[in-house]
Amino acid sequence: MVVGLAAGFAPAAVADAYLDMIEAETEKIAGPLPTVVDGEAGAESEEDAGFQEFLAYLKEESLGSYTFFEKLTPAQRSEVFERHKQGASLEQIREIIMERFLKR
Amino acid sequence: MRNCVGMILGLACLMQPVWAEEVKVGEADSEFAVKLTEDTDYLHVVHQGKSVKVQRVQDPNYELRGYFAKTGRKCPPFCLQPMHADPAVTSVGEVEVLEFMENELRDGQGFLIDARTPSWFQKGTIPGSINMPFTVLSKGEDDPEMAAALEQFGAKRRGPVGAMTKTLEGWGLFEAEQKTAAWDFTEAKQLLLWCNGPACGQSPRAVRGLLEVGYPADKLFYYRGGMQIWQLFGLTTVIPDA
Repeated sequence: MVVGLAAGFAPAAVADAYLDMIEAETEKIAGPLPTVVDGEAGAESEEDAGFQEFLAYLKEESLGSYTFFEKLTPAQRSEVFERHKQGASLEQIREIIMERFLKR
Repeated sequence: MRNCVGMILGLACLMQPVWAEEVKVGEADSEFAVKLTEDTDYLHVVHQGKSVKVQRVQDPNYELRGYFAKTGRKCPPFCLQPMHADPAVTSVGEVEVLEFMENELRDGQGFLIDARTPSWFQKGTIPGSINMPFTVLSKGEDDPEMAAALEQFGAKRRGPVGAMTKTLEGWGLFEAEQKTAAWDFTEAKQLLLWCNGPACGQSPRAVRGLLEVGYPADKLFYYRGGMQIWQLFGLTTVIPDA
């Protein structure tokens, strides 16, 4: 019975020891990872300067695309806006909007 | 131009095509010196409801520093892992992870799983990942935490199965390979699991735990490079919201 109990508990003890060592290792990470982007810098926001101008531009140049753009998720809208800031043409913007809309 | 002698030959040389050995470094119309792939500068992925741009560090002289630059940790437990977490599960590299982000993840057909414990996840993760620790994914199919994870992944708990259905499934009908007595994985999403890198056993344990409860092997992918290789290539990471 003692052997049985020991055998029964052994895997759990090993697992706990493994977990303890893994957890202890996290203490060795000093500061943020070198390639980390913080939440604000990494996330595009509709509050970015120029977003309203982009909306007006899209509405005027391609009302249909604007309509679909409005149906995208906030993250998808931010992505499209980012592509616009990167210099994507209106044609490219329209393609991205439709692709994202169809794959929602 | 080294074979050109005289004006005539020089002109002839000017008309020669550009040889393939002339390597282009970056595209004239791209601000990205270090692209993700030959055709892609960067991509966007949704992480905790926000769009995050995934790219590589643009400094060609960038060298990895910090914890993930270490070449070794005590083994055991931090021992090098085989290329495959399981012979039936496909191992993938960075390009496949990026493709997964652009396709399965974006289309809602898959999850990128950070299989490390929460304390690791909080130190920084690959954008688009959700944290589902191996400690959960190693539990039995009846464990409430495992059951919740499986439901989150799109698996459905099965009710009582009739004798006829059992027989037909035993013959391999009704997508039997996607089902166990307790779970139906027909609609389950594709999962791409990763952890700290080639010397990390957390995601391999998660993969084996999922196989143990019947998750179909063809819906599982193992990114062995993990955080260490992701960092080595200067790819974007994010600090998750608490």
